[in-house]
Amino acid sequence: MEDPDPVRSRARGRTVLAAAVLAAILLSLLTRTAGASEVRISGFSFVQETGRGPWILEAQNALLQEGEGVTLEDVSARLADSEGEEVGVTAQRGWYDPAHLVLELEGRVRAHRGSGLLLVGEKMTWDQGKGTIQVQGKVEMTGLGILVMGESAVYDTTDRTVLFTGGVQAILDIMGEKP
Amino acid sequence: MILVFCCAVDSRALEMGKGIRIQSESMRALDQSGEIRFQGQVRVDLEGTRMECDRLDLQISEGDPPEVYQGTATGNVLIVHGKDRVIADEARFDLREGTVELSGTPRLERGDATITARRILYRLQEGTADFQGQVEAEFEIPGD
Repeated sequence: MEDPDPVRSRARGRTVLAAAVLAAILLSLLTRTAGASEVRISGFSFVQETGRGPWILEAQNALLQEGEGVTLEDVSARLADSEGEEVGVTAQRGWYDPAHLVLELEGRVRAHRGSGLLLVGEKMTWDQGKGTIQVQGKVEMTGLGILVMGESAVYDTTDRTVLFTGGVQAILDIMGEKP
Repeated sequence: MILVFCCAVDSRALEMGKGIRIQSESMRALDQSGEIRFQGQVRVDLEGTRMECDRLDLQISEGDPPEVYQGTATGNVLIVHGKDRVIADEARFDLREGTVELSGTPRLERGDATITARRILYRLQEGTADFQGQVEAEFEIPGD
């Protein structure tokens, strides 16, 4: 039977392959460090091929733990969206699950698109499988000539929309000056 | 009897670039179209004028800096400015044209005086308001 969506199917295939490659690397590292249950890496850099383009993860320090994903310090991640604009995040700490393409971040969490839209919050989850960046805890957004505050926000990297919920407050200027 | 939200969004405010403060239950910004939608118990404050509605859509230009040039408030629209109150189903703001159009049996209240019409068109620069269609006015006659 013909695959109804060959593009998605290929993307899923690439994702599974990338996750398998990372798992193999992690396993290899763990095997080489005989007796060790974890591996520490300085200057961690990893490119994950996904259906939405290459997803680049970097961290000052990384701790690879068998079966528990990757714990990261001084983290950044980025990709280019469909218009070629960079979507990126930075945080003090993070945890990466390569099997599900989920990056969880906390501590001075910031997400941006190009030099315009900027989201700041306490915690963030970048789910590359869904193509969403969810920010929680005293979230602020600047850009688009508007300052918005709320309890939670979700940025969709595919259709480039942001949804704020929970006690939303916005300040904007009808002349377009920065609030 | 000129009041309305329009009063606050007058030419002076436009020149001075006064900020608008908006509260709501949710907000969705569509990055591609420059549209921002506030939904659920929306409240807008601007220079002593308050507007409440169920939903507020704003259009933002792509210029640098971006500029809010159009807006539509829908559902239970209430605008309060001083002693004046305006109630309508919809209010459409065109800041480039300098107009505000109120529809959905808009009603203007000041004290005991009330004016209703099918449509009210307010021109910001001129400070005038046109009441159109089935206009009804009620005034209290002093000493009555």
